[in-house]
Parts: sequence; structure tokens; C-alpha cells
Amino acid sequence: MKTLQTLKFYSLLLLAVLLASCAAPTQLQLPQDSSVSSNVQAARTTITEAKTVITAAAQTIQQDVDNKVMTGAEAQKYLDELKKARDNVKAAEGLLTSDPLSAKSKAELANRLAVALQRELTAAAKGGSQ
Amino acid sequence: MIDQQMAFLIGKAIDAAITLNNRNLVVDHINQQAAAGKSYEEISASLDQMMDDAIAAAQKSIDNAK
Repeated sequence: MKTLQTLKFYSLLLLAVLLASCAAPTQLQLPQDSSVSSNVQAARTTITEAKTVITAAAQTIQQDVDNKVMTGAEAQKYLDELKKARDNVKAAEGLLTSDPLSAKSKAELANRLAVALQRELTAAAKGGSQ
Repeated sequence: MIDQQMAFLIGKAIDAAITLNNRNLVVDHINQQAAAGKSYEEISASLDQMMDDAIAAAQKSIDNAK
């Protein structure tokens, strides 16, 4: 029995190492548009990054709830924050042409919040079962 | 005790890899559209749809879990 548990353990460890080594972050490649300023281009990239993180975080929440590693109440708290980040990114996108610098700064803020939330999410999913 | 700590670390590594994989899938989708010659506006609209769908799907899972 003990041998079986140890074997299971090392299989999981191997899986984790393999997953971690295979999953390197993919570089975002947006189309370069010479008709817009570099500020607009930079704001577009930041907005797209923020949307990417929000989408991935929402998918993680769904997986965590479906796999029962997070309670509905905990997940709702994180999802509500994500919804706020989505509203902020959409507001930032509305400023793209009129005020690209503000758009970029708003999107950066939303992106930072979404990244922080995603880190919390990873910690909460397993930390709760400790 | 050591087993619990290892299980915790393994769980974290798996979670981090899953999260990164989710992000990479979204980025792959964007890059494929850019490679196909789609404009920023088209890519942005498609990404908005993905983001809204992901949030709606998460909300549905939460509602089902309550």
C-alpha cells in the first residue's frame, strides 16, 4: 500500500515537472498598424494582454469550481473582481483613439489587478485544502 | 508531514501550469487571427467574446455549485 502511494506521488511529481517545463509563456503578436501612433499601438497591446489574463483567470475559476478545489462562495469573490477588471479594460478601450496614454494606463492597472488575482487564485485553490 | 508538503508543492506546480496553459491557448488564438491577416478591431471583438464567454461559463459553474 505504502509502495503504491509512493509510486503515485512520484508520478504526480513527474507530471508537475513535465507540465511546468512544457508550458513556457507564448509571446503575443498583434498586427502592426502603421496608420496609428506608437501610443495607440502600445495601448492596444496592454489592453489585449489584460483581456488575455482575465479570460485565462475566468477559465481557471471555472476549472477550480468544476474540480471542487474551490467553493462557490470563494470563486464568486474572485469572479466579481474579474468582472470589475473586465469593465475597466473595456473602459480603457473606449479611450483608445481620444486618449491613448490614459487608455494604456487604465489597461495596465486592470492587467496588474488581473495578474494579482490569478496568483491569489492559484494559492487559494490549493491553500484552502491545507 | 513531508508527504503533505510535497503534495502541496505538486498541487501548486500543476495549478500554475494549468493557468499558464489557459493563457497560452488564448494567446495562440490571437496569434492565429493576426497571422490570418485580421485587423486589431476584429481580433479585439473576438477576444471580447472569448472573455465574456469565459466569465459567463465561470458564473454558470459557480451557480451550479451553490
